[in-house]
Amino acid sequence: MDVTKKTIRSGRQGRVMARRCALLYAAMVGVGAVLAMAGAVARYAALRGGFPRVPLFADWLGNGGASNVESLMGGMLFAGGVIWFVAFVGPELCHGVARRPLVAAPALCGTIAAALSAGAMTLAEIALVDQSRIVSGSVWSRAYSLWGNDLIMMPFSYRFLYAWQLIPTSTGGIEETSGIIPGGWLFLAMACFALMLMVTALGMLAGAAVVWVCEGGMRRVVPGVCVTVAACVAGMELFLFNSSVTVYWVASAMTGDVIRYMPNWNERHLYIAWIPLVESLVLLAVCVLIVLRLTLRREVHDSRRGLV
Amino acid sequence: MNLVINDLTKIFHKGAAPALDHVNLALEPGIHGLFGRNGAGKSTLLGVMANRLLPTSGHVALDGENVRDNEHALARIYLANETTPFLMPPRVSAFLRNEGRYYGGIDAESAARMLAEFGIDTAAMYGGLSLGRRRIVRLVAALCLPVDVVLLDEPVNGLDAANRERFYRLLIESYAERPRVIVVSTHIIDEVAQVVERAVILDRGRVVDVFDAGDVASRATVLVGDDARVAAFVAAEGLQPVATERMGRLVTVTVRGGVDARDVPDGIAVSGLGLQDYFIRVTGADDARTAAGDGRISDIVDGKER
Repeated sequence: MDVTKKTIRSGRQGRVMARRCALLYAAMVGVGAVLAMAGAVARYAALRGGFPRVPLFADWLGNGGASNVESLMGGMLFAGGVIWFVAFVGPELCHGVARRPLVAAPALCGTIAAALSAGAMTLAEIALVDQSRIVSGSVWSRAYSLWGNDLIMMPFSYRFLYAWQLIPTSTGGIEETSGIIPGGWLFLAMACFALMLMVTALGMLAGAAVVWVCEGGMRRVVPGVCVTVAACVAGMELFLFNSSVTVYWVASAMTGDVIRYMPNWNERHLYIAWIPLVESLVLLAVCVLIVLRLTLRREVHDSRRGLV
Repeated sequence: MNLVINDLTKIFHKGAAPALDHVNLALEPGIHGLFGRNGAGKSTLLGVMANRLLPTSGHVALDGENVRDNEHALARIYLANETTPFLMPPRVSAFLRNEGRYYGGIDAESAARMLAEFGIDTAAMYGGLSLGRRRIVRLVAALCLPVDVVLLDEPVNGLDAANRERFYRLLIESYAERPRVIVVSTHIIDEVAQVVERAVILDRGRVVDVFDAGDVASRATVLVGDDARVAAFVAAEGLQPVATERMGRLVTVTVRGGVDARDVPDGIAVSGLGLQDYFIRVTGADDARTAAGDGRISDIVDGKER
């Protein structure tokens, strides 16, 4: 056997580590699911004309509903990635776990968690929309009126229930929209999964980056903060404070909202769920590669430098 | 079963001096003492052996398998140092159980018995224990896990004298029950000299000597006498000085190897060295030269003049 070659063999340690990773993501999803359920129950009861009592902390979940759930679950999955790399990787290395599985486990568990979250949210929203149709005979029910009657104002994944929306420039409001398309719930689920997968990937990247920066001391912290601030400012300049039609079109297309400009600058928005799905898979691959590169160099120095 | 360290080098930052400099070692089952001054690279060496640190070059092999990111090999290696391998301090019993999960079980009965000797209840909260007792819990875990390589980095730091003796006894008993490679890195050399079978001395990232602890007397000899007379004798016999101390015309020279007292001329006193004294001489060579400043006897370590 050529001893100079690194021997990558997984064993018991990897299995124990994978279980802990799965538990972490299950806990994050579980907490999010409990909070989301509270909000869904409140919204369901409201649709039926009831006034459910909810704890103050869950009150915000009942009002806006789905967009808050997307933010909630996305936030939990993002936090899961950060917590894993900041708090768990060090102890796992102390127990002889190899570095590669430390990246593979959260990528796999995060993907499964994203799928489960998307599935659960889709099922919950199916029930709510169905209830709203029963109550009002229309999809534009009280549950959605809080966002206005504009798909753009809806939670990210909801627009993919529909094929298109026409927005005239003169009024800015909806003139026309397609109905819920057959299989629309599948596209909603795809878009929701894509969103959850993106935040999962970004959470992993954020966690690994934070540890890498902190391990380097001030030599990395200062440039790291500067780069982060610069990236945020550049992003805002590019996407928020930019009046360029091209940039706006590209940014919208990247979210699955492809705009076709018609005469008089009316906009026909086409909702394509495949775009965010493909982007999320690419983003996951890129983030995993970067995180792997950072983690393969991760070391646990003695307690003089701290474990976390 | 053997653990081989092959041409291991570790450099933490570009341009910095290597923390480990082409270290070569072969460790057979036994209790090995790893000695070195502060900053010699002992903790770094143990960290690389346990895959917590990554080598810049070279490798560590356990029974022919490179241990780097190799869980099959790492399942047989356990390092106990100051780093607590968990985030939230659990109960002592939960800590032992958790360690057992990673390493294929733990001898809970032996662990409980050992901890009881130290007056530690397994139901106690780890976080509520004193510094020394927390260290004892981690040491007991190391001794009770079914691993083939146990690395103990300054294990008796924070332990009182009675507990240190207790630990050495349990270490020997544990080894007798299950012979394996045990590496003990410590500064309290005189105490551990009774326990270790082989001694490895590290100085500035390099291995300067490896020998059976019982043969330390043959590793070096101390010659005390008139400067000129001692210098003449050392030169005539072709001895290798390791360290030199001067007080006026009186000089104390430590030379490598044993010297028969019958061969020593009158006026020169001969004596052997204990492990600690030998360690101090071997690793303090540059300090002595700095203090003496005259270089009348070259300070040669490991056959190379510095």
